[in-house]
Amino acid sequence: MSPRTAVTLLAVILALVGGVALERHSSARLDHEREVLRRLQELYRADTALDMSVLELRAGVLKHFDPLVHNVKVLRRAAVLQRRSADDGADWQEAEIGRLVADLNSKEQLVEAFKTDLSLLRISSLHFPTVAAVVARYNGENATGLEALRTSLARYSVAPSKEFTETIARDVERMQAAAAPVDPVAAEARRSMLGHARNILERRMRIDDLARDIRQSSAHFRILALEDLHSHRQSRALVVVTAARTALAALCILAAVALSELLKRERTSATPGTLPAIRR
Amino acid sequence: MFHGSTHRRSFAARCAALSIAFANILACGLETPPDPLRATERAELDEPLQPLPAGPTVDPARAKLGEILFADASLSSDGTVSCLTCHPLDRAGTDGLAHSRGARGKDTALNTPSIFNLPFAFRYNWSGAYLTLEDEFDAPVQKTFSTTWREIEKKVQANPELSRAFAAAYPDGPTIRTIKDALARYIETLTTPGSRFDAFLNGDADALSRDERRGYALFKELGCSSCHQGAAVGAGSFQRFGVMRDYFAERGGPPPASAELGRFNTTGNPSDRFVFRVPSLRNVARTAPYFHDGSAPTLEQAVTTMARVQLGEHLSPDQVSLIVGFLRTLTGTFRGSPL
Repeated sequence: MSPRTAVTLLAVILALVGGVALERHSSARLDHEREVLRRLQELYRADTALDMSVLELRAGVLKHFDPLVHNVKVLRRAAVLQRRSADDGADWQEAEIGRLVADLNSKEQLVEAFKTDLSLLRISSLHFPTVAAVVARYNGENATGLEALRTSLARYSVAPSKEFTETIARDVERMQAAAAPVDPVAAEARRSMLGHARNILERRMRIDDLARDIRQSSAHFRILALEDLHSHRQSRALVVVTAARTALAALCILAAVALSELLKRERTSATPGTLPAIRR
Repeated sequence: MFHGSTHRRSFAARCAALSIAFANILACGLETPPDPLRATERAELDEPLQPLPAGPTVDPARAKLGEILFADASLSSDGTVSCLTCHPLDRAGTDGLAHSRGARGKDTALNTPSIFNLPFAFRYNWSGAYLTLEDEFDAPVQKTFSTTWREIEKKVQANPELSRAFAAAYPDGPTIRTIKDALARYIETLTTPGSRFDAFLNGDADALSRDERRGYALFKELGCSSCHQGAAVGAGSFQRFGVMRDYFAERGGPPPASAELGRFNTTGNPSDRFVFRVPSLRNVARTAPYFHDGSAPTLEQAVTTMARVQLGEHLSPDQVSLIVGFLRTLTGTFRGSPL
């Protein structure tokens, strides 16, 4: 083999090795981006399902917390995996995922408060009318005040407002300050009734605020922003992989052609009689 | 010359065409970015209580290792206590004591909850301080076993048989992480499906007697199912113990111990004082005594107290009896046998 042929062969091999390395590297990058995006999409789905369950619970069509429990667990797991999949040394990405995890933690706190308050609101909404009826049976002189409280709370449950809250709270305090009934059953019923009334006042508006805060949690928008970012990065990685594979394919073809040319030349130079014929 | 140039051009064109074709073939192998699926899963909406679903799928080899560790008393500081001591499986995963006895004769600060059906809980331990089972193990290791994970790891590594089994199940062999993982995987297998109430929810109306059905209706009417809901019949939210009345004042005796402050011990938030994870009522008929302090020896007493302090209701004996009757239908089976 002539030195020129050897050099050419070496160059071809080096070019192929380089091409393969480039293709491997860009493929790994693409796989990583796909995985990150897949997890973000899983996060998005769980987050959306969580929001939906909160609204269903608030509306009363969903009567248990299992979907919330499930989706909070999915969010926790996905956030941990997302953190692990951050690029080594990519500070901006780590910081962004850190912010997402913080947002998800805050959202989980809101969800916990929502569940607790919703349970109590349901209990008090169930019990207030019953105990109020018991109180009414014993309540002689203050029947008007009691009736007013029952009506106010019924209206408040449908259309709560801050001013309304203050008005009813004053009524509740006024009833609390009045002398306790002598009959222990009536006293106990009044105590329960006022407790339930306070529960409703404290939670009726807060539950709506919590549901709204959960829906508007920045976690949702951060997931979307990260998803957009990684979609873009995935598209770029796809272009690089395609280019790398095209280049590798071209290199393979060129290498094959170059090798066949080299072999032909080697064979020609090794067969003495054929040179004049080629020259002609 | 002309001929040679044509030849080179056609050669270059062939190379380019082949490259493009080859690249196209390769590119076809690359999937386009998946279209994000925005659909949400719909849950069962009808009942506040749900049938117990199947537990998570776990690696049997790892769960088997967890089972061995669960029963291994040598892991505690004085070799007297294993997980099974406080969570005997033939007693619905509780030891029947108000406060369990740990290593070195130390009693637990709170009543031991059942070990069953934990995959369906939203958090772990009475105050819900732990988000994962693996994290939750820190509490009994430190407080009940009076030891450290490092010590446990050393003991497992020193056991040739266990070490070999761990090496077969985990590439890392026995480490703190893999020991916790094996225990968690085992505990995930401890579920109790097949209760009569599950059969009822799954459509077998005759699975419950008339009184048991009335008990379930009363359970819902009173609002018990506002907190004790879902597949675990609880274990899905936090709630203050003593919503309508001060439980601790009514209980009498010494003031509440620091462990009884509940979630406050985790958050430091005054509004979290006496807030606990709502316990699961699955198998509740078998897990006496009740409450975080184990102060209610019978289910009747527990129901009466709960109605009073949480709902502000004084239940009649008949009402208590109906609810207790319903709660008894929540007892499931473990590995095919009734609990």
